[in-house]
Amino acid sequence: MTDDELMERIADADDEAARLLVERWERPVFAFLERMLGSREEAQDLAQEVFLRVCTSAKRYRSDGRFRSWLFRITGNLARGSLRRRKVLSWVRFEPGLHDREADNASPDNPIEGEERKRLVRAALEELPPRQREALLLQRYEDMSYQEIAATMKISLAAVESLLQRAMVALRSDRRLKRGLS
Amino acid sequence: MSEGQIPHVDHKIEACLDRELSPQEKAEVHAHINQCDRCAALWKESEKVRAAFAADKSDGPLRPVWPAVQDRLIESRLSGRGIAFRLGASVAAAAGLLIGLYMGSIDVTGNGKMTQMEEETWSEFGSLLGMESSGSLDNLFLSPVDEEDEAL
Repeated sequence: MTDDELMERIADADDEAARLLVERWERPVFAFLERMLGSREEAQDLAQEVFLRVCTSAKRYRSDGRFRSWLFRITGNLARGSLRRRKVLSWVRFEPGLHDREADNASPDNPIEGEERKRLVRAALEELPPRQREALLLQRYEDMSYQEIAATMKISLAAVESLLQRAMVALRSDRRLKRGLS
Repeated sequence: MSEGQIPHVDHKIEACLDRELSPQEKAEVHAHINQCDRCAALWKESEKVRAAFAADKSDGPLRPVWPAVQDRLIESRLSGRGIAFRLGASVAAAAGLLIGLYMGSIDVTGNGKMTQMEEETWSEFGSLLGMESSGSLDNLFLSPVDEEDEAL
């Protein structure tokens, strides 16, 4: 059953269809939120919120084969909202110093692998402004085209190119990431 | 052609790696990179960053998302029913008030008596409901039952 067909059933309060849709999309939605927010617990809470909104908005959803864009628009909006609230509360993001310690242990003769590399990538991502981060995650992990990213984020194609370009320039210049990858 | 004269393609490297360029644009980028150390270095750095991203796998949700979503859906449906009930009760109360006012024959003009138009209007309303209007304030607080008791 396609996503659009499931959404039609969810609009008729079909909980089985809702369950199928949630189970189909929970991993990519969670992964996106985890990388946007840097917290698995927060990603878990927000993932629930995403799917609750999807289910309660089913009657307003237009079946036009763009479910993924619509889903990640909701997800991105919630993630950015959460980051804004966090900024207001001045919440500390990752454990401070953890990534620094990892990077300090790196040397050109001992490139960091596996989990440490993952933490470096996540730390570098976390330094990006939310919009750049969001565009990059949609492109890198959801394999969305620039056109689809533009539809998801409701911005122009030129804006997508600019966001991605700036994001990659920042990542290429990230000192810790550079050291860890060399 | 010296490197200084070649327009750099750093602004196109990401789009090229993302397969967003036309075949001609892609060919131009590759042709330039073959001649420009600066852009070739940027290309390699981009490739490394992308490889690092590819290695970053998510472990998936901490626990299945559906049970919590289902609980909240049920909760929202129940509270939605509560709102509908209160709304229905309000409408019923307003209708009851109107009917009660009709039965008490409120003088809408304030002069103690209904005009002929008001009487006709209320009479039509009353015939719809199967009741008679009394036409004065005196019966405002009397219900049809009270009137029957008094008559007895």
